[in-house]
Amino acid sequence: MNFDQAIRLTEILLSISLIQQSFEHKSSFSNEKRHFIPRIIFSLLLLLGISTKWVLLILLILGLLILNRFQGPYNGGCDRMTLLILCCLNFIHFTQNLLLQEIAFLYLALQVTMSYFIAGWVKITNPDWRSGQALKDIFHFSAYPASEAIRSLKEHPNFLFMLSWFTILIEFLFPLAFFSKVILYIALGLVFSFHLGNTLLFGFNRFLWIWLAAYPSLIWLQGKIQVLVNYN
Amino acid sequence: MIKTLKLLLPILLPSWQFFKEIAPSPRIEFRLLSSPNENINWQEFRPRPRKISLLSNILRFFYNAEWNETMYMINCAESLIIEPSQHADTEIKMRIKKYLITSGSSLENKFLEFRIIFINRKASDLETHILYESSLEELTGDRIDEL
Repeated sequence: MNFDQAIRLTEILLSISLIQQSFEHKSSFSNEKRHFIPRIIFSLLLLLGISTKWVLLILLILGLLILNRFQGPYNGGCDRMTLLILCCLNFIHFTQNLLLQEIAFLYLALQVTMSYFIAGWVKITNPDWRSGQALKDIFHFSAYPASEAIRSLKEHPNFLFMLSWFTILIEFLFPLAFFSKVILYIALGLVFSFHLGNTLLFGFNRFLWIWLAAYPSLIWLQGKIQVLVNYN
Repeated sequence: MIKTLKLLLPILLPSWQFFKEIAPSPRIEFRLLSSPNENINWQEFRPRPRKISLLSNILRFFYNAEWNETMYMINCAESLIIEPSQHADTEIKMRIKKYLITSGSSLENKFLEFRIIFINRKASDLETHILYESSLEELTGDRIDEL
């Protein structure tokens, strides 16, 4: 995937994610809707590739207004990733220098990689995560399980132990995915399945779509690394 | 402008420390009183369903507005303990009002209050602590557009 293709695919996936997020505010208060309805309209323009540069700028401004409205992210990491992608795409469209554009896209790819690696690092260094106790606590008393039936998973320590280590390993080892294209696609499949699981168990649907929008940057970066390795 | 930049900085330099530790977990409870001195039980705000059907699970991939709003309120509840603000208190209260109106309750001449309880594990048992109680608000209408 070349740079232009990766950028365009990021824009398409971002627009889908923005429409999905914004549509969830259709029944909210009027002071929320006035941000989210325009965001749906401009996201549709982004999806169609109409005036992309200016549409991205407006989407970034709307993102900042939304951030201000809620005095921080509405949906934690999801909003952070959304704004990070928007900042990087705006930088890419408003600078003419290819090297600077690539650095901005590289920054996005590194942040996505770090989002998995750091999340894995904080878990592998925590004894409660290594023993499965942390996941048991999440199912037992945290606010996240989406139904009471899901809470019953706390009764299955062996399953939780394996699930903990699956989570830790796919997150912590994610940077190794850049070794080859095949490994990267397998790793993306694994982390995507992790997001699917998070949506089913904890209702984190927005994370699934916005992290997906950042994957083209990883595929592009792996291609660049491959070229550098082959060159040397 | 400075406030927005302050909010933007952690986005450009995120920490990504998801689930670093399993902290005490908040629950929001409320009660709608007919008079300020009435003593009725607290109700959990938007209790989670017993089970979610396969179809609902599929739909939730695309549309999960109520749940995401509840998660936002949980964030507000946590911030009320860490760094109390009128914003977080108001956000929780107005969403409880909307919830009550959409579930058919009349708010006219009623009084609303909420509290935040935190649940944590101590050895193998769970313990709860009430860490925040809102002021009692007299409700004079049931319009939600103004909220």
